[in-house]
Amino acid sequence: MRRRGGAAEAAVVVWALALALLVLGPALGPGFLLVRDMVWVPDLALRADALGLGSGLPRAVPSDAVVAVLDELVPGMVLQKLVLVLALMAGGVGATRLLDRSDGSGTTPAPLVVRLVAVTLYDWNALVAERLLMGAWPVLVGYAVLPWVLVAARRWREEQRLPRGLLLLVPLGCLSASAGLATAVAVLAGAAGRGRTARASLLVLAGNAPWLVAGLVHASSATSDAAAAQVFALRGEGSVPAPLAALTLGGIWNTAVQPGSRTGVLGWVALVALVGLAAVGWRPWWRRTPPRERHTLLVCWVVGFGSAVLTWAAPGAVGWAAEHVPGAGVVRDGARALVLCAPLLVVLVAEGVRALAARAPREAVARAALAVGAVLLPVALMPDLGMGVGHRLEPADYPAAYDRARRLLEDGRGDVLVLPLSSYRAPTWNHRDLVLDPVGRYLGRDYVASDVLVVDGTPLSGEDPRVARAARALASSTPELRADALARIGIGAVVVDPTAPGEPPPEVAGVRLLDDPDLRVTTLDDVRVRQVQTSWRLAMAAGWLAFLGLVAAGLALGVRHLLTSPWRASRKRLPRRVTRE
Amino acid sequence: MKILTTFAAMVVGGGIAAGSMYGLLASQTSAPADSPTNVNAPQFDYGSNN
Repeated sequence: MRRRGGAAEAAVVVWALALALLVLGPALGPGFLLVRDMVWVPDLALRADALGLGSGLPRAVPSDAVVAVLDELVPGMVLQKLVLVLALMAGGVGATRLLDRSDGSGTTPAPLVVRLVAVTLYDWNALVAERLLMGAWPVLVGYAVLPWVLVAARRWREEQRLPRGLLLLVPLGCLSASAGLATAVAVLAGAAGRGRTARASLLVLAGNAPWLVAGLVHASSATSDAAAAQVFALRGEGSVPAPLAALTLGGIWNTAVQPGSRTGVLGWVALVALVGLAAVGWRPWWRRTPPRERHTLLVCWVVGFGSAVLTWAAPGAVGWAAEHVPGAGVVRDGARALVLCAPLLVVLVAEGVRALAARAPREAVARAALAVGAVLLPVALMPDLGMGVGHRLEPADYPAAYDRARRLLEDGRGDVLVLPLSSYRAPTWNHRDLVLDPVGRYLGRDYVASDVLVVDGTPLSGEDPRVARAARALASSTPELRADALARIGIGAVVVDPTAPGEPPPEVAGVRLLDDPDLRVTTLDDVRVRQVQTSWRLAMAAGWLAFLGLVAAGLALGVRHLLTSPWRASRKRLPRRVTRE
Repeated sequence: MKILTTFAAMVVGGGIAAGSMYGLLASQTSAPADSPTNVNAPQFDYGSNN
């Protein structure tokens, strides 16, 4: 392999870091980023539901468990920022690897400006903006890993040997169901064939095992409200129709997180500019790229775009599948699949820039101006991604009551019921930003909280059967009867957020441990602790074993390589200094 | 012709760079894109299709 120019590679990494810092900006300040589904806490407990043994659908498997382990090494506040910065950096640098070309004498990197264009477009686009504002950090981690998975799959084809790196990349790319599905498509598209298909299939099964097995054990509650398919379908951005928005990685269902620049004239300008550059880059890319590599990126793009557009074109079919096929609801958020479209879009746009650069004037000043313009084009098309997506990502500190509640509930029996039964909060201490109720995650015990999503005032029913049982228990006529009914379903404590909207929840009899303006904590007696079936434990143990086995194998092989690498051997062979006496 | 293309290249490249800077600064000083959550509503919307 030819060495990459050190200075050029450093420039790529520095640019990726600069973009990550520019995107996140004030979001990297002290405090926790609490935005929609992204809830990080100082010390996430390794609870049963993080392992896939809770009563609700395993939406945060395996991401919660991974965070729960890692935050024992790195404090949660720092870990969150590191994950976001490194995801953006790694994704941008990884995108440049897709531009490398292999020939008989090794690998040739693309020109520096072309690589910088790839970094910018991979890190600065509608998908990144929208998923940041949705708090979908596992999706962003999977997105960051994707180009590296594709490059590793390419190496597997070329060297006919499973690259060690894939053993770590695949688990990292499978922190959520949708991320895991995208990673699986990338691995199979890139590596399948010529005796590799079986191993590639086992690899992606092992990487996705935790959420797959958890989904299977929860199969009886793994169907979703059919109406949600229409709600979460791919959507247009401003006047740009959904399929066209998807061409430039946009089209999320939630108009509240669509960047303003995407819904105005700039949305059309971005479409014309990026698709135009991709069109210019198409022929040179086709000529320059080996057929198998073309096939890989095209398959990823077709699967991603097709899945996204299907939710827009046929929400009824998607809804039917979600209602009748356990687990099918995972594809209802159509725009998530667009991660698979990013590699081809970035490669084509970069090739388009390369093609236009070949026709640019020879004068250095003109070429420099065009180079700067090309690299900054994605920023010009969507400037409101910068500085924490226009200051919409602002860290916050938890009230002291949360820490007190966690300590008070550390040693109790039974699960915690979080009230009121509504999923989202907008606390003043979080700048009134919408966030999934963080109380449950903050505490160290398993908890039951509403999983009903409300969109435009319409509730979409959740899947956790214990929420419905808790609601029926709360409908009892006296506080004592409510406490008895809750204790019978395994609830050992009730935590109420008095600042949450709506009617205050009914009183529940018990011992009041905390009565704070931010939280009220009441413990119950005679709790019948929820038992997890042995079959579930065995199944999840197998799933986690497969996942962790990949990680362990990847780490072990990596360490062995470091200890036995030619570099290390050559250092040992260097002559020692001999002193004469 | 050569001077014209050189000039045009500088205008295009410089224009995009200037547009990026202007856009970044303008997006920091303009009003928030979405309204604060309605704290009087009985429950908060996870999102909106409108």
